[in-house]
Amino acid sequence: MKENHYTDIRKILLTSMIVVPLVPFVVILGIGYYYFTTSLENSTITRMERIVEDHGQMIESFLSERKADLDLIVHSYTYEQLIQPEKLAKVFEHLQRNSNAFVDLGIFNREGIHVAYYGPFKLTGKVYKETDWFKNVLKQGYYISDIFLGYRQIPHFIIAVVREDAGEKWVIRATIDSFMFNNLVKRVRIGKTGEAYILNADGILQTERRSGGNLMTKPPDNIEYPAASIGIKSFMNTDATGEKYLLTATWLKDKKWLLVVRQEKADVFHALRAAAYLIILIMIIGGVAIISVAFYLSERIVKRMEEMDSEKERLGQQLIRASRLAELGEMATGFAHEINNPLQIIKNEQSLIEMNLEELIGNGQLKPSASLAELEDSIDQIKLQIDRCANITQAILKFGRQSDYVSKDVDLQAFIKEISAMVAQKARVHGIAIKQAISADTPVVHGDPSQLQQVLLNLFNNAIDAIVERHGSHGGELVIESGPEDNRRVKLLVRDNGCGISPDNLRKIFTPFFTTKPVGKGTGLGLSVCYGIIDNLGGVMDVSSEKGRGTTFTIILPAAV
Amino acid sequence: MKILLFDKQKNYRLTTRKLLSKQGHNVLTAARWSEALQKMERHIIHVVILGVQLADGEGIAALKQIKSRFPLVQTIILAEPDAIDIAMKGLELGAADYLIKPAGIEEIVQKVEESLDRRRRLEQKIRAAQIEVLERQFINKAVELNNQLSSETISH
Repeated sequence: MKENHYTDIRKILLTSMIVVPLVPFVVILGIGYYYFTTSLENSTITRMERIVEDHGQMIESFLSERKADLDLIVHSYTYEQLIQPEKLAKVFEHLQRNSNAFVDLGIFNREGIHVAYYGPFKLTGKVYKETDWFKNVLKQGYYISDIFLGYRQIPHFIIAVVREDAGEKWVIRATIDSFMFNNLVKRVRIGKTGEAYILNADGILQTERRSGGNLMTKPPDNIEYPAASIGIKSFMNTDATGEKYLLTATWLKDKKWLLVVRQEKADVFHALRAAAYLIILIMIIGGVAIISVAFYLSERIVKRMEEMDSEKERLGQQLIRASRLAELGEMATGFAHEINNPLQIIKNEQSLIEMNLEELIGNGQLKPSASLAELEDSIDQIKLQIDRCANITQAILKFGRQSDYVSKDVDLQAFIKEISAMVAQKARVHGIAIKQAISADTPVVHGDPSQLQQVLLNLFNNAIDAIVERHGSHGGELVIESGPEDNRRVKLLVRDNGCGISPDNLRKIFTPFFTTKPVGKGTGLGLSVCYGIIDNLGGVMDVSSEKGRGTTFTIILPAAV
Repeated sequence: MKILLFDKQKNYRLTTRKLLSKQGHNVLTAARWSEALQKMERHIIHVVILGVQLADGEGIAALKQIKSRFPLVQTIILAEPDAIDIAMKGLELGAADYLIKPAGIEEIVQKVEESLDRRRRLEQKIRAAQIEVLERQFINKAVELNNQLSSETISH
């Protein structure tokens, strides 16, 4: 039950010592992780959006500049001027100086006939009346195509502008190599996988994509792009292979092209993963530290508590023992009183019987006979037993009245020698060596010399009895030690190598009337009286013993002031 | 020689009286203090055996009274084993001796006889002193008469 109690305390301590620091620890790490994630995501998205915005503007301005170039030409030259090949060549040279993206330049009449052409191909005379671009350019006034490979198998697109001159419409068309354009977009590189590309309204790649996907093909990743709208959109999407991407897109060229910047999510959050690993590491180390500290501390606390509890229990037992002794003393005194008075009467009656018997024998009324002898023996026996009882009652009554004593300073060094001299003869007879280890700085104590003598004689006699029981008449050893103890106290030890005391008896050793000696040999009061005497002097008496090895009585007394 | 035994236990009084009588002592007994005092007034008592108990103020009070009213009476205190301090106090107050219960009859007889001896010695001392006083008075008177006689003779 007791063990359970400590186990419970240990559990509670352990739980609170682990949970209390661990919860805020985990929460702090969690919050840190959350804010770090959010800010990283935000900064990544912001960067991607800026790239989209910048590149979008660059592309738009590139396109509008090229368109402006053509506008300038149609307004600077007349149709007649431009259909002259030399003039057209000159204009083209001029144009290429401005931007080397121009590949060729052609003039078309109203019927869609390629009237003049300058460029690497022979396209003059071809009719374009039914082509989409021609129809569109007539309708809108200008046209910028998607990228296509055309006859040349080179990625390019066209810009066409209409000029209406005195009711006569004609068209100028320039082919623009998208190589530069392609590079511009392709150059964008964020982290390991961050890239940019352009799609047309049908989702066909208009620029090459670093991660795969050829020009003029539909990328296989099946990403849904936002419907044509104004502004920049950021979103997360998963491609056909299950790879997650962070995408930012904006519509260009009157919502015909879509500029996309995308990065694999794993790449975006690469730093985040490092942070996560670090956090997990900190969590493990911190957790282990918290748990081991909790284990260590709770173990120590519980151990300390156990020590304190057992100390308390020991003190409690001592107190119980002392109070039980006091109660027993009181009770025994009461009994002794009650017995002593009848005993006095019995004693007197016995004397009377004895006296009368002597008289009867003296005047010859009783003749000597066997019965008479028996009667006399009985009377002697009664007298003997009365004296025994009287001894017991007197011992009890003395035990109950230990407060009346003469108090004086006792020099233990001389005193112990004196007392041991008293038992020296008896010890010699039984072959017991008395060894004295009386420290020269043994303090003087204050007490009743006759009581102290009683205590020491009692201990010496008990020791001698125990030694004789074990060793017979040789090999005995009785050690008397004395010396100063801390807190101005004196320590006295009486140690024998006698038969020892069993743990059961050891518990009851100071209890009045407890004796292991045969009936008639001991009253069982000796040690309880000694205990009472030492207690009265403000001291402590204790015993330790091992069956078959010997016994040590320890007395601690306050030194005289 | 008379002994007064004062004790509260009847059986004890009776037997002790018988025992002391057999030893040739004249014994009176008393169970209460008033009875004891009465007997001391009526008889010449030489020794009182005074049974006292622990915390028995009566015993000490009785002793004081005996000492003030009958200074020559020898008192033996018969104390319980745990009432030794009362016995000691009694000795201080002038008791002759003390006994611890249960006391054997031999012990009682011994103490009684010692006390009687002491009493006898005291009485002898007193008597001797009285005789001396008487002698001195007689001599003084004789001298006085002698002087008177001689002065008268001279005048005639």
